[in-house]
Amino acid sequence: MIRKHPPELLVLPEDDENRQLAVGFSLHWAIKPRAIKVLPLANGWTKVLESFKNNQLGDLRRRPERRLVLMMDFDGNAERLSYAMGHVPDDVRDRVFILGARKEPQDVKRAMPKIGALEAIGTALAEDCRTNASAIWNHPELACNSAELERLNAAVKPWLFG
Amino acid sequence: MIERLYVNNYRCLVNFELITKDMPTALLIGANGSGKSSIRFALQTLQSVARGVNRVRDLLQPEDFSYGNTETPLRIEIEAVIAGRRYKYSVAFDYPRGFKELRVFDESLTSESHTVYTRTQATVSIPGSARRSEAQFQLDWHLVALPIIQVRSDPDDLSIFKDWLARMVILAPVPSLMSGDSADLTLESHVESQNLGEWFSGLLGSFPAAYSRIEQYLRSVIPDFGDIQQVSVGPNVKRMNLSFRLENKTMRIPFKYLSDGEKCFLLAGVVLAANQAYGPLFCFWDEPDNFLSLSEVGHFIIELRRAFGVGVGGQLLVTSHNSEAIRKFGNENTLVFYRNSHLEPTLVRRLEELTVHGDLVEALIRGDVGP
Repeated sequence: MIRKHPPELLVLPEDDENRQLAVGFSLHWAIKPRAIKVLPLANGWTKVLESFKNNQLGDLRRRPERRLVLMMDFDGNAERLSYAMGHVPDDVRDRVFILGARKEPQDVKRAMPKIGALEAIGTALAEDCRTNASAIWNHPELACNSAELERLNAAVKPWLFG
Repeated sequence: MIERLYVNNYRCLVNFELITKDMPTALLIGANGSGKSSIRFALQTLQSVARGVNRVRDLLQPEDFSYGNTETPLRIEIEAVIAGRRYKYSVAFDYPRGFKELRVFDESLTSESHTVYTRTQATVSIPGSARRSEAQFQLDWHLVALPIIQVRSDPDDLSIFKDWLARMVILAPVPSLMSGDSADLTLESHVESQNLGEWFSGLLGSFPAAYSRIEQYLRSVIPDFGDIQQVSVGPNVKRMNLSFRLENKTMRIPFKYLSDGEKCFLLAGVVLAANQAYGPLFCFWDEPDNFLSLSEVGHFIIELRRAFGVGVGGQLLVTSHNSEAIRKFGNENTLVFYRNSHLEPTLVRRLEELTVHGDLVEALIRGDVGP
């Protein structure tokens, strides 16, 4: 057996709803096999930041091919993104991205009854990324991600979709 | 795709209904003894019938009746949509006093609203059509009719249903029993994957292009995988070897020397290729995370789910106690099995219908997932 480290995107979800969105994203047919790994739940947005600092940061520095998405609820707080980004050191800032629902994923689910399940919404978000569309990402419950999404797309799209 | 499985009076399954309509992939979770694997045994019974086992004593024993209740027939029903047509097969067995083995109580197969055949105890009836008159004949009531009877129709509902049932992939693999040898070719997997070599040979014999799917998968999971070779080791017996490459060095390893996890990777490659080649298939995999390293479980489950997922065709049901596997399913496609005691039957609910406080895996560890 040999160890290879191709580019990979790790997702650290705050809670189970965010996890289901991330799993749905990784189930999209065009995502390259093994390109995404969804990590165990942090159980709270502050815990996401703690886990990032205590568990993820060291290995992220050792693995330059790794990108990391911190998924957290913004709970209607417009300042949370910049507050959270303040916890990301400059040397890895181009490889760490913070995404989340304006309030929480259940609001996203309620706002998209035609898509239904959180997993299905996650898959639809991946399709948006693949096709450079923004039908779902631009929804008011998710539009807060536009700047981070642009950064993320530029960083991972060349290798994320097979 | 199986839309409904109904089982009554079989082991811990009493008046038990499993609805999997619109669920291309689903996870079955629950405590040990909650009845997840009994679903596998019920499906295996139907599959054995489709594969030609028709003597009832080779399918079921009196001990299979729930709680020794032989007053009520043991019934298994399956409803599935195959190539756009809805099939329903039902078979029930009873165990009258004085009998030495179970007998068929009744049996029927329908396609859409059309009855293919019905049977009550020894009497089999095939309804008439524009081309033929109704037929009725007697059959030993210790024999299941499905493998024996022939009914001409267009489309050939009986063959379509039987082939689909026979080719279901039901797995609870035991790597130490897996063999890479093949003296025969088959498209029918064994539960413990003892016949992996023969399934591999049968798949490539009928669909040579399937090799590329196996290779693609193995390369993704074992970066130094080279190829698979089958060498003759006796009259009509081939043995599977795998090669591994690093730069200009190659090493060939007999299948039996692979690790348990690597054997499961090969099995997964064959499952993915089979679903693509002669699917869509139904796959029930009991604890697919067994034998895999923690770093592989998530990728393994996601790859299987993608291969059987929405719009792809086929259907995948897996059971698991592994947190990494459990976290690769959503609440809408997770089914929770539970049972209050060994004296009570299995119940099932969708996870989304239950209240789980906090993290599901932690709730499972606490034993708090259930109504």
